[in-house]
Amino acid sequence: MNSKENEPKKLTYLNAGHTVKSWLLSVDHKRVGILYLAAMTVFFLIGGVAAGLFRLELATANPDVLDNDTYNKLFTMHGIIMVFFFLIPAVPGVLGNFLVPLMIGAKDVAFPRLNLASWYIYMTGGMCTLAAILLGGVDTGWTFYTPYSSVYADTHVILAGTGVFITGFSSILTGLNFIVTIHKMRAPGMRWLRLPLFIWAQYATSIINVLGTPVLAITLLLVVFERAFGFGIFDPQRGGDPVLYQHLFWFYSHPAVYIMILPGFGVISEVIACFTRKRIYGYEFVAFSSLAIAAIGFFVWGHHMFTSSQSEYAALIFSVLTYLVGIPTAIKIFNWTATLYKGSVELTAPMLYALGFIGLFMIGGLTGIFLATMSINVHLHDTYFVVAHFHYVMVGGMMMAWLSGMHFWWPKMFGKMYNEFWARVGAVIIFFGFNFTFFPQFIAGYMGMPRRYHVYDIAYQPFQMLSTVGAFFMGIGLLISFVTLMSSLLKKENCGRNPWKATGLEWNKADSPPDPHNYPEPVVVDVEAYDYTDERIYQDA
Amino acid sequence: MSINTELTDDLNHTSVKGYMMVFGALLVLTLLTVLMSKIHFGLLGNAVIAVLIAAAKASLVIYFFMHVRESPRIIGFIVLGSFAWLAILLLFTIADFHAMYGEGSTSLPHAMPW
Amino acid sequence: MSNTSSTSTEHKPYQQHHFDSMHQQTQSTLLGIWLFMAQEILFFGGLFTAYTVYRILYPTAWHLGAASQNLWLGTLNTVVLIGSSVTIVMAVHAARHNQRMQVMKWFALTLILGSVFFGVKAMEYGTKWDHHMVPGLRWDDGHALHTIREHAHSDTEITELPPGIQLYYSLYFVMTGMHALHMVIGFGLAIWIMIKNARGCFNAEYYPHVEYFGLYWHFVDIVWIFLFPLLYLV
Repeated sequence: MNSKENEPKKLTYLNAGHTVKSWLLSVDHKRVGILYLAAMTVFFLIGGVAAGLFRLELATANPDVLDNDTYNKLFTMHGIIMVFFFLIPAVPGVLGNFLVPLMIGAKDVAFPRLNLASWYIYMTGGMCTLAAILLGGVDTGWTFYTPYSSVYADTHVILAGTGVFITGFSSILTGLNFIVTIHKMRAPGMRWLRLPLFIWAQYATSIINVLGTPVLAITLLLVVFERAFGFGIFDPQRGGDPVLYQHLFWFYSHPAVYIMILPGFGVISEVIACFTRKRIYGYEFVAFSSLAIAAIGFFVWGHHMFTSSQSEYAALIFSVLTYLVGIPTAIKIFNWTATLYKGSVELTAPMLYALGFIGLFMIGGLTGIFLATMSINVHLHDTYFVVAHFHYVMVGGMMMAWLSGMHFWWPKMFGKMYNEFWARVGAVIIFFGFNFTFFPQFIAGYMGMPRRYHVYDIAYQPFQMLSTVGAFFMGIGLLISFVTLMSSLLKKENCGRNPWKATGLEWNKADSPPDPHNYPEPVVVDVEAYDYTDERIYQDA
Repeated sequence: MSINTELTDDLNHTSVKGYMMVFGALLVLTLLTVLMSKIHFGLLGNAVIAVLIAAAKASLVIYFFMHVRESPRIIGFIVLGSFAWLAILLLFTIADFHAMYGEGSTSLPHAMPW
Repeated sequence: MSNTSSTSTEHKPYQQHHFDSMHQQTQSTLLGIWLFMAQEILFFGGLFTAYTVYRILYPTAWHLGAASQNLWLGTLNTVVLIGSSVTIVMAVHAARHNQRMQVMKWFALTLILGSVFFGVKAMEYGTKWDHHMVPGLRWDDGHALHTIREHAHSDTEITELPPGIQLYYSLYFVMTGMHALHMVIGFGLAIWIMIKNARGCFNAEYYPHVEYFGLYWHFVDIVWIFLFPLLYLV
């Protein structure tokens, strides 16, 4: 690491403008990424606190901490906030915004003002949703199923639905921005097949964003209109069909899970390549598998509706297609594992998270295949098995990928290296805490415990108790990681341009933290991606 | 690619005459769709005809008025891709409802009349 | 297929700094606008899906509902909107040929035609309101049945409201309402562009706002091209 104490202060995106206004009106994609990071951390905390509260309640079979309505509201808010305000925007909003232009050698995204507007749209939707919480909450579940949400609920569905509707446009516009940026603003020499796999993943995610999110938007709007005006769109008494709502809702919400995970896949590719000092095995397969997941992911939504009186023929087709969508994902897992073989593995914190990801996502993904099997789904639908499945992919998968990415690019974003020992401690505690939280839920679900219930049969209690204890430890691990990252900002020493000796334009041509315009000298690309034999990555900045 | 030189200018943009011809075609198709609705082809038949005519009109507007004719190919992909994606939503959902309530199903009360 | 920097050393005043060339800027913006169109297609597509499903479930309601619409007003609106697409196409044509006054004229005509559309829509909405046929807000079974019987052109006697009839009208209002909202936004954009045009912001080389507004307006026209037969001609 270089000590730069005696050199004049370099102009970076962090110190170019110190006023609040310069941050809130910045069109610099890097600052917009930091704005998203700050907002997201707050939302994650709120969603996490909600979970903490209902995990306390769920530790025992009796209703001793929360009453029915409060419990319903807490799991609803946890779902809405975690899905729409953390999982969907996290990697694209923070890492995507920060890294996409840097990785392709551009000065900014294609539409920088639109980028800032997207953040404001996200915040507006967030404020709306928080208002719904403060005014008493929503209790429909994050899925807003009709006709409960549209006719019978007496909670703040309109406010929450409107909040999610607004935030959806943030996703759409960010996706639009990335697609144009990746198509049109690559530096000379940056051919498609030289792009980092993070970019491929972000590109695939952006396509899903643009094609899928509008359908959620109109669906939620219909629910809001029904409540606000009394239109009879999903009202069974006037002929409305709840299954229509489910088709419309899941047409987006299934691809949404790929919006959540694909950027995480991108992060894992980058981290594994760096800490095995090797090109990702089967680069093209991993790149195209992202596109395949984006495409096939639109054909499987009915697997959320096997027990909703969907026809058997539709269910059969959706089941087979769901098996199919597992294949490109499996290709990625095989390729990442193959990359490890004969690699020079370094167990840094980002790598620990990435390795944890592979194992945990595999469990989550495979249990998804169980659920895709109709005969099994009939027994497991709406049980804790489903809850465990999606938390394995979303928390064991996506959240770990998020943490991996945050640790990996933290030195680039802030110019400071965090404390590696404590970061690893945090990673290990999170890993074990996570498994103790969610593995017992597989068992409870398999035994038949329904989800969204807080009063349950005493037979499930040991598993729920263990789950709550695990959650507590996971919370501690998260706190340790958070403090480790934040406290690194207090250090004086700059970590240098490329502390990890990674490949990629952002590591080799941009400073840590980067110049406001990313690359003061124009960039030309003359190497393939992940060329760890290139001596230049070992040169000091 | 131009239809004929009267209908395009030197940069391959459609000429005013070309636009007027498209306008005329759109009016004709509008008249056609109103007339066709007066003839009874059955509920499915009428709907299919109406949608086909609307699709023809939309195609004219997209290709000529929205300049897709002169735009890079990727724009064409985006247009076709969006409609294709909408088709996924429509087809699977309709297929499901047909299987649930169509003829041959045992569900009440909405047997399809086609 | 990466873009190379422009060889021109001239930096146009309207080229934004993060782009390497005007060509890159125009190509990028065009791509961006079309991606926005793509999401609009899916947005309205959700409504069309709901329409189609309920049409399958309630064919009688759909048939009678469509029959209760004023066919001539609907046809007039269709012709008016197609006409407004033509006027916008002419406006873009004029912009390309640096004819500022012509651009204003064509935009003004577009707004006039658009106003006619709104006027007709207001009449239709007003009629439905008077006849108590707005679900949730002002609906009365007796009035609705009376109106439907008046307009039905089948020989069979209609003794009661068909199942799902309120769904037809709900979707009618949401679909045409969303369409009208997009037109209102279009009006606002058009006025803004007319102001910019008056200030001389455009020339034959640089008229993106006119071009992209055209795309937006044509899209609004296309939505109506589909709405008209599905709501009026079923």
